[in-house]
Amino acid sequence: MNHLATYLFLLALTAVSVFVAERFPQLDLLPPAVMALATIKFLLVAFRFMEMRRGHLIWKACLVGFATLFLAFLVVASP
Amino acid sequence: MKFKTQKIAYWFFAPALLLLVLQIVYGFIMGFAHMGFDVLHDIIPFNTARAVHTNLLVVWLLLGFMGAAHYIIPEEADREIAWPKLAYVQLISFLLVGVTAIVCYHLNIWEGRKFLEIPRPLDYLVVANVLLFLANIGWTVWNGKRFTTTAIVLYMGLLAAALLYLPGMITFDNQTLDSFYRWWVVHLWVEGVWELIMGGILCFLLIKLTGVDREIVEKWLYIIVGLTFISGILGTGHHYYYIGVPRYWLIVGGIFSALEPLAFLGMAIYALYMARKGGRKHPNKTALTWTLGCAIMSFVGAGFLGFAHTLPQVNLWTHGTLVTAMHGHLAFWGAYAMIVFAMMAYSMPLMTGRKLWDTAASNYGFWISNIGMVAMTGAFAVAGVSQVVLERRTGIDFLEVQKEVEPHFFGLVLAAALFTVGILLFVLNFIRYGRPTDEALGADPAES
Amino acid sequence: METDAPLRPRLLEPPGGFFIWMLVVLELATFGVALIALVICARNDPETYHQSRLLLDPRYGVANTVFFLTSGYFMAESVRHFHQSDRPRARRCLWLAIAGGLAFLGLKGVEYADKISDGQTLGSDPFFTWYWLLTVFHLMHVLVGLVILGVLLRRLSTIKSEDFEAGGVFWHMCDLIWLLLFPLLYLIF
Repeated sequence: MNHLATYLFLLALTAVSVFVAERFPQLDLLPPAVMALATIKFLLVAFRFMEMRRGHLIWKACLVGFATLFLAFLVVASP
Repeated sequence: MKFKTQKIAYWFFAPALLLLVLQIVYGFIMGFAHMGFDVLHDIIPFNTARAVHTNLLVVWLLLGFMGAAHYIIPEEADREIAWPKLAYVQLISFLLVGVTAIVCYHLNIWEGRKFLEIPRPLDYLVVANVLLFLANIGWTVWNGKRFTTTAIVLYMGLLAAALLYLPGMITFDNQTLDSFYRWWVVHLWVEGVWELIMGGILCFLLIKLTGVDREIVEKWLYIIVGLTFISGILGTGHHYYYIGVPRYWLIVGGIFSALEPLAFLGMAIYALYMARKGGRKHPNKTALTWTLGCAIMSFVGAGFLGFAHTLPQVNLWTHGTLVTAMHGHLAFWGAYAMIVFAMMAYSMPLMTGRKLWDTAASNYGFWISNIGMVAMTGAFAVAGVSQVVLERRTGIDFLEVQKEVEPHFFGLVLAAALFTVGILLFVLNFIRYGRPTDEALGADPAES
Repeated sequence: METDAPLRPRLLEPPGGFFIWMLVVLELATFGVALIALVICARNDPETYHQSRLLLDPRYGVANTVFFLTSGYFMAESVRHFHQSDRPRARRCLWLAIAGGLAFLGLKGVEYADKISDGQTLGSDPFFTWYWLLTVFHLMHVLVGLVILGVLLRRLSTIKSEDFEAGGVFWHMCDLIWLLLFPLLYLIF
């Protein structure tokens, strides 16, 4: 997947998350779902645009770990 | 030592160590008072001892920084200090002002706010004196043969420290405003501009001791120092929680307090990385030990222990208790005392020509003083937590609680004795170097 | 592998260099803590946060996300061209990345003006305190990032490959932060 494909995919994910948030504002699962999409975007940028897919396993683990922890805390903390 | 005037550094370092020893003496007076043996109460009451203890700390650290500047700036600017005689005049007058202030405290002449106890007329003398120092160093940097980032960062740190002395001299009628600006003096020093000074010294030492390219050391160190600096300035918000300022200080203080230990961690990782990367084996291992020790202990003391009580929920209970003393001791020791010691350990062999870097005194000095300081921190932590629980949570009277925590001060005094042994070993090694001499002129042997 | 990257990636040499990634981790940790704190605060007072969130116009947020993603795409392309020693293309992409950043700034300015004229400022309620603090801190990173991109542009012909990558990583970091900031502030409460 080259940069252009990544870029288009990121735009698509943005569109989906906005659509979901505007269409189903009352949904209980909305915050985790939207934030999960955001986390996927986060990892895409980190691995594709920042070239971390070529980095050492520990750096990858750091980023995935951060994203997972962030999402987990968010799900636990959100109302 | 490349320049004759670098020797001036010695004359700043020697009184700095003397004042450190005096500071420790006053620390012991307070330690014993806390244990219930307040025998000197009529001559040196606790509040006097406390003021002297903290003021001496600031004065000896400033002397250390000034000494370090006199050593580093000629080398970085590649020229002699502009006016060497002025440097001595400035040193002596600085010491005179300091001694007068301490005598004043014993005669009960002082201002009320902590850290800013120095009587007002002396404030002006301090300002005049620091201006002399800044003019001398500034002129040297300005007319130097080369400009290095290290020299400029070091100078900016010293200049900003001088500027931040001024808010403490303004009088406010409003308690909140007064508290707000009081934190600008010593606190913005330690969290902000002194970190520029520390960064400058650290950078100089790492370049000399590890042999890594100046370009690499400077570029990244200053980014990390910048991060520490910004997080420190905004992190001062953790002193603004409940003094009457707008609510957003809770968020600013909380978040940047969380960043501060991370920035210090970055600095520690950075120093270790550079030491690992460096190819040169500089013979002065003690100086490198102090340098890396500074990077690590400033993370533990300033970063980690600071964060232990800077979140709003915690600080609500711990502000102004012995928990602060716990953080304060290891933070000042790790971040600032150790960088001054590192500078002394590096420069003394070069100024005197005697290679006493690997003696038993210098090695044991490092380890014993550090173990002693960590143990002291532990004793303060236990006493502090007990104090918070008993006094603030269960509402027992202040003096009753002080009675309860007396046993912990027995441990504290023992740990402090160990720390003192370490310091005395360092001082002993310092004395054995003797006076600086022109015979030691020449580049650092490791560089050629 | 299409570039000259080493086959076995080394821990101390991630793309862009060790220290820029250390900086990224520190920044992400700080913003991460702040965002979690925001969610915890919102749990205690969901109604205020919900009402105030509705006052934000998500169209600004979406447009800014698109600007930033576009800018990030061109930055990544610029680094790719740089590695292939195609300086003119790297330069063109860098310009487009800067343009994306400037568009972000411009729109943010319009949004800020909007909010200020509506009286929703730093102290008006807890949600807006968070909104201002987080977006302004992010904006400062964007400003620093733009300065860095400007430096990259000026020194394009002489700069070392690792430094160019490091500049790019910083710019993408602003992107990363915004990707987490945008849904939290504009969508979920």
